[in-house]
Amino acid sequence: MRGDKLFLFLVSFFALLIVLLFVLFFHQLLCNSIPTWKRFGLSFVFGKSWNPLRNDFGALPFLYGTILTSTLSLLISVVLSLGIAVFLSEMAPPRLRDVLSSLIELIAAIPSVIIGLWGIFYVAPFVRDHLQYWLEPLSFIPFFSGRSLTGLSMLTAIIILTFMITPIISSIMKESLMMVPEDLKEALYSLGARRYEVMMKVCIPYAKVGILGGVILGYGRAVGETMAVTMVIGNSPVISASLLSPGYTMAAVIANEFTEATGDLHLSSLIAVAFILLVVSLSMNLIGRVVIWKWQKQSL
Amino acid sequence: MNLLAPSGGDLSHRGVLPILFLVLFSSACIGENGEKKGGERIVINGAGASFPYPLIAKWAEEYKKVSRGRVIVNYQSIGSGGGIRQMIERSIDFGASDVPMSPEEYTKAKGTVLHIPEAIGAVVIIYNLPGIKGRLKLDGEAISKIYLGEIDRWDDPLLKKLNPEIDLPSERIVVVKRADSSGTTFIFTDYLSSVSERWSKEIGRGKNFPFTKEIGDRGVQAKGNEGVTAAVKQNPYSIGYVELTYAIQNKLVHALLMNREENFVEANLETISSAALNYIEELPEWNESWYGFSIVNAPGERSYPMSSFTYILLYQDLSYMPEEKAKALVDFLEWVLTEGQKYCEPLGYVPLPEEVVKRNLEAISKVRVSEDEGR
Repeated sequence: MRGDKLFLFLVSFFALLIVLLFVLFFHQLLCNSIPTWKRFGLSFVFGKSWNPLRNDFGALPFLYGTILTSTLSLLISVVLSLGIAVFLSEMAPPRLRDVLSSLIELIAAIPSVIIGLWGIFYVAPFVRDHLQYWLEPLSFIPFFSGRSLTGLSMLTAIIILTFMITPIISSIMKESLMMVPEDLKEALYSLGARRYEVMMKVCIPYAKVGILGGVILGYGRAVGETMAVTMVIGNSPVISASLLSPGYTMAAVIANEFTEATGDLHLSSLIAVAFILLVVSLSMNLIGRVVIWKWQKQSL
Repeated sequence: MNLLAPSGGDLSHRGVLPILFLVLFSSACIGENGEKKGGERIVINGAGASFPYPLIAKWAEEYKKVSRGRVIVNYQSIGSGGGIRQMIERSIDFGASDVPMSPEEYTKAKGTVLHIPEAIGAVVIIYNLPGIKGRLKLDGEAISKIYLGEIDRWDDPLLKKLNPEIDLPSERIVVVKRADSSGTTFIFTDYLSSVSERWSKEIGRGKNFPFTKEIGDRGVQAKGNEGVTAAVKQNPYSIGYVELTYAIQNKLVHALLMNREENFVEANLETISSAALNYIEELPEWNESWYGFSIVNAPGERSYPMSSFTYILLYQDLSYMPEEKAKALVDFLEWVLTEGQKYCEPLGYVPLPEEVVKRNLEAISKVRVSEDEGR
């Protein structure tokens, strides 16, 4: 009995540590960014200029860059991943599935700095010399207007991010699709349904919670990815509709400027950017959780 | 299987306990021995700029030999911002920075901070002009106009005038700068501020600066010397700036710069120490703030215009640390400034001129190493 109590105390203490850690995160980021909030207030979030030399700080270009690159890469990646997951879970022969699955996991394990190097030496020149010319017919859309002189652009960052998050999302999607009970599928097949009908009517609805879980995880990685993005995005705090122009993300500016930030306001502004980043990724996570929660309630 | 399991369990009971004891006992012995040695050993912790890291690491390695393993110097290149903050907080024993402490930082310090220049570094202009053999020549006006966006093509009249023997192409200039804050950018902007009125008015000196609107989509910001180098190598008709040590290690061709006496000079040992020598008279006193002191745009026929000291920072009053440690730190710095200077050149740093060493040794002699040492 006494042992049980001690054990209970111990594990609940460990669980509380998580809560404590979370509160401390917020507390630290908020406290250390007070000078910035005092000086600029909420206009810091919507300020467009970032100039450490003039002590003039605004986070909007970084917020814009982060949300644009992560959302677009997520959209592309979800489509790709769903295809990969459906193929692997339903159609691939078992041996091929094993080989491909472990390949996907291998890609997921590539360190981001290596993907960044691949981005600098291969993807960026490819965007500069080929891709942007292929996209030229679309240049009436603001997203594809203009020309990239160097290939270091938001488009390149999106390609890199898509490459980085697709393995994660697709392997989680595959796992959850494989959990769909055989009898459900067989029941539909026996009614004469086609493969894609079974997929759309049974598998995906059944596995949607797991699928969304994978999407949330992938989004988390895309929002927080630092090294690979900063290597290819061009690091310019500008807001441009064109994906071919350079941009900047919140994670990248923190990594680039934190070590040498000597001014108080500069430092606290970087921490304020970190705070915004935390809020953005948390709220995206929260939205996902709420949707999952609702779905689970429905299925009950 | 069933038969094997209990006997295996027995074996572990009989065998493991004595072994465990043996391990614990022997490790206790090792621990004691280690502690005995640790009593004599002195560990000095430093942190700061990444620029002098290879040099300080080399010094630490050599000084360990010189002191017969008694003094261990740890240096972490966490950036000069962090180095200065931790030095002020006394959580490390010395800091290192490419830029003197600002007045804002100085007000937080708990006493006089000494700036000890330990080597000289320089920034060079690198470029990518396909098919062009001759070496590019630039002056402060041209560089500032390129980086302000006023000059946007290589065949601009100003560039043509500086390079009559080169057939400059009519291509747009891709302008590359550091994305991360750095001492390199500080030296670069310090130089441009001292030669261009528009630069000093609109942009100024700093570890990072924003591109002007005129640069537009021609601007690229890359992380670190390696990022700038990659961006310049990857993009034809681009220009960028990196540390000299980095350019030497990677065999990058860099531009000749026009100095104050209107001579074109290459960044090398001779021209960079000449710049330092020509500013000897203006070196601040040991107990003064070094803020604003720089050796860019130096007078002297052979002086290279874009160079700077890199500094070790420490408190003048070291009585807050154990006396032995304070003495070891002072000894280490004295060695660095005398014997240690011979390690500069092979690593691509420029050793200090004798005059500067003399001033440094004087400053170090003012360090207070113990409580009872009256001043």
